[in-house]
Amino acid sequence: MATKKRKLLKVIILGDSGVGKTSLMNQYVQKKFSKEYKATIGADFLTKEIQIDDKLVTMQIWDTAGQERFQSLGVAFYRGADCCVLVYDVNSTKSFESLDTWRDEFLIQAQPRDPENFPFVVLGNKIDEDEGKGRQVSEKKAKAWCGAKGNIPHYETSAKEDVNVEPAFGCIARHALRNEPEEEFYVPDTLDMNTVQQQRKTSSCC
Amino acid sequence: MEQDAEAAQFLKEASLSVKKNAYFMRKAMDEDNLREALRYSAAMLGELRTSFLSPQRYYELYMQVFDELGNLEAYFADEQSKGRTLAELYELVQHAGNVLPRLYLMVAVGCLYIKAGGARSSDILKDLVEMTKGVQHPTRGLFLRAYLCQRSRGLLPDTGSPYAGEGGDIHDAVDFLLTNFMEMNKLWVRMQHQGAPRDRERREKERQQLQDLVGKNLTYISQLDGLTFELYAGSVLPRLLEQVVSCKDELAQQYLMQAVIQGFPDAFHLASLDALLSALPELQSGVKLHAVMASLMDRLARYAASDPSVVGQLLERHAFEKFVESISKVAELHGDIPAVSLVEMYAALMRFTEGVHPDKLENVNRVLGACQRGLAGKGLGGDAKAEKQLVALLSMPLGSRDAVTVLSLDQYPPLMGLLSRRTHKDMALKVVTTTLAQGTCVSSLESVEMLFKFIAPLVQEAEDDDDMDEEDIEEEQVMVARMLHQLTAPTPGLQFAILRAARAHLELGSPARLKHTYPALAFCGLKALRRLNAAQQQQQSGAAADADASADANGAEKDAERAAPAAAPAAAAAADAAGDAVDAESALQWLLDVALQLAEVPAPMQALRLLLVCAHVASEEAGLEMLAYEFFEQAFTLYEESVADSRHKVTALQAIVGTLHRCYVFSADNRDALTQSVTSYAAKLLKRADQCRAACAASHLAWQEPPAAAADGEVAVAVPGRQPPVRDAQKVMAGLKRALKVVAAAKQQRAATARGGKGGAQHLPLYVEIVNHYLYYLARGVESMSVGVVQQLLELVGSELSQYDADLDAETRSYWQATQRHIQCLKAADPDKYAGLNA
Repeated sequence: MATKKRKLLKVIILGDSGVGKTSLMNQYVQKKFSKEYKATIGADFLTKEIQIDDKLVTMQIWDTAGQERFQSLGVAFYRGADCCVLVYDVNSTKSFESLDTWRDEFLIQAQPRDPENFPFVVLGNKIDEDEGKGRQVSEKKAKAWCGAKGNIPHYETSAKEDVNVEPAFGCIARHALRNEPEEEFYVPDTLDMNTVQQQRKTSSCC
Repeated sequence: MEQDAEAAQFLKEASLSVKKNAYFMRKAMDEDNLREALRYSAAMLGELRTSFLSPQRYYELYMQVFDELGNLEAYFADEQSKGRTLAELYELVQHAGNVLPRLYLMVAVGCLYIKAGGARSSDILKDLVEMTKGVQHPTRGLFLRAYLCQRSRGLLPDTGSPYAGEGGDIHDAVDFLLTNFMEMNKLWVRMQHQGAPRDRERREKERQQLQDLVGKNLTYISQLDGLTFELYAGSVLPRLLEQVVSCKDELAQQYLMQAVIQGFPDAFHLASLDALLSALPELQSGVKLHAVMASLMDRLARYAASDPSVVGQLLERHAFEKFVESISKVAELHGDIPAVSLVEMYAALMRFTEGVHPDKLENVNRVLGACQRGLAGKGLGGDAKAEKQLVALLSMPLGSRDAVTVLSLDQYPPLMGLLSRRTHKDMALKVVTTTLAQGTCVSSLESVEMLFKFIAPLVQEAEDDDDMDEEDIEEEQVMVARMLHQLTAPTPGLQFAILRAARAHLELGSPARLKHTYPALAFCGLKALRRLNAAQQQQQSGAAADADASADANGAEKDAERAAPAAAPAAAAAADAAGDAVDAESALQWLLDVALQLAEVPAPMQALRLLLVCAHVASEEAGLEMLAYEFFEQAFTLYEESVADSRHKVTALQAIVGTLHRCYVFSADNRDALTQSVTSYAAKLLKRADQCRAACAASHLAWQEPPAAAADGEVAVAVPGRQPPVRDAQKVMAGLKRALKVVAAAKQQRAATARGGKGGAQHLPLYVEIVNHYLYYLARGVESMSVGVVQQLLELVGSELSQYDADLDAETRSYWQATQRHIQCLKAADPDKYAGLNA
């Protein structure tokens, strides 16, 4: 079987505007960092192939718009996610407090089979900023929150200085891998596909 | 709703079909049957040909197809590695019967082709971006092109990319994305003009759902490594803006301007501000420019906050001035711009300047002025949202600055005047509370004038104030009264000028307000008068010291010490002399006016007390007999004409006696005249008991002790025109005799009307009181008051008390007992003097 599927892991990154979702992904996948803020419009992904133990997997990392105004098409891309990464800025209490909303929103929209055990990973980004002087969210506070939500793994990162990015995504990959795939297996019936196709109305010319 | 259910059902069926075809596609792939795999993939992609789904639902279906396409792409990659050429694949995918599936497959293979290095990246991309023109249905076309730019991400000949060089350069990458963007925008705009006009609302909603597909191109451009500012400003931005302007579509313009502002870096905006701003007036009139402007200003303000060097750049580029100009241009072009939008822009501008240039007060004033001019003629139009925005705008300078600084903003009050009466007042109260909370001193005439402009609604009446009750007014005016105490000038002269100015404003208010503010105003005046006196005395003593110094050279050192603290008031006095010279007389005259005006409120008791305080000050601090006399006369007039209530009369008379007793300025004639009036008032009181007590009190007017020594820390003031204490034993005795006569009359009256029972012994406590006055005068050494005279009264009182013992109330009894104890003490202390006393 030449086309034995390579394992694909779908990861969604969520969090408030400006916490560094795009930067984390770019640092991890492309080893690039830009300190300039550029709002992300819509959702899009980058892929990265990694080896976990002896398995070769492809991570499809979805970067999303933190600004609501750039999320016009909805969140159909949550579908089939294997792990959800919640990002906040350690220098912004507000961004940390939003995690609840992002988590709830994800669970409602993605409707995983087992919401209680769906893998999340929390990242507190921008630990480099102002040499940590502006920090508003202590590690303890964040860990307490994660503990209360079913022991969500927590990392403090700096996309800018590449601190903890690799370990965090390694953890993300492992958790995603552990997620049971929710493939709705299609069981073909005995109908001829072609006739089925023709019965349905199509309204297109191209 | 029915349509919605139908669409949901349609999506379900389409989704099922995708699953089926995907299943067979994967099966074919597993069996390594490329043709079958392609056939099923085309069937699967065929589901995207529908026009029946809303964009969000279409997106769901697209995501499903997209996931499955990932498998196909992987399979293609494997096929290639197995030796099947991409040319062969390219040939094969063209067999797909329908345009849409064919194009999806061609994009997939095309991208693989680039990846494999089979052809120049830019050539293939150019082909694909051209070919996709084959789909002109907006939704389908937009998603197809979204797929194209998603797949080609990372394959562009971006600077530093492996596909650059042979495959093209950054310019090709930008061209590709811009072309795709323009094509997508055209599809998106065209949607607006398709279908029936009645579906307009639904269409707009659908278009909004699709907007990110168009905007996504900007994110891709923005993330190109090779995108330098030169490239952005020289090529990308002009072309973007050209497309935005020329599409003449409100919705697209609104969204894309925001996308440009949010999607590209701050530094770019800073350096290309002119280009961005100049596009604004070109946009359709329905575009909410205020939101666009506000976004831009907020972004740059945040940028400046994160990087101090940006502040300098913003200054250099005259960003603030450009924003001011832009806003007024926008307002001019869109004459019908709603007030709320206009205020929102100025609020953002205020946020900008307060954030970026907190030291530039003139900017704040300019924003206020510009906003006021912008609203001139239209006002807020009763829009609550606009008013809320305006309050936010007006509150900004108050939050970060002290009130006096804010007072220099002459554009503030007119803008504040646009608020509704109630909000205007709230804002005025905010100014007052800020002043009080910060303990700010308002010390120049200009500031005071300005302050009253700021708080005009608290001072002046308006028609709709009718709903305010007494309590509301008091609450409000107490704040104003408190604020008056913050008006403190460096010199007494200026202080009076300030108070005069304040009065001119307060006067405009109703009597109900004056009642609360005038007493505070008067006491501010009295305080100023004291400062004036102190300054003058210091000056005099300074002059005296100078004289000493010239006479005695040895005193020079000592003199120098004294001159230092005196220098400030001396300078102040000099300043006063220059302009606002004021003397005690004119100050008191002013106070007299204030008191009389207060009387007219009417608030006779307050006015009367004020007059008495002033009389005392005139007498004891200023030494101005005629003025002190005038104050008493005015107080008497008030007493006679305006104090009607008998209890008030008693209290007022007590106050008069008390004050007059402490005045030493009067010559005998004047004092007699005043005392006579008091005596006659005392006789005319309603109740006998009051008459008696008043007569006793009045008797003290004939016997003064020397003035009390100055309190600790105060320099004893040598008051000019002070008379020696009055000592007229005859008048004292006459006064007491009057008191006794009243008691006797009371007793007779009681006997005449007695019907037995309690309450008939009201004259008894009066007796005891008179005894105490006797004892006081005896102690003071009033010559006619001998031990014998006192003893006579004691015996009389003693017999009266025993006669009415049954009627005696507990209070009087204990009063009498206390008096007896007092006499015992006196005897113990000074047996010689008091031996003859026997209670």
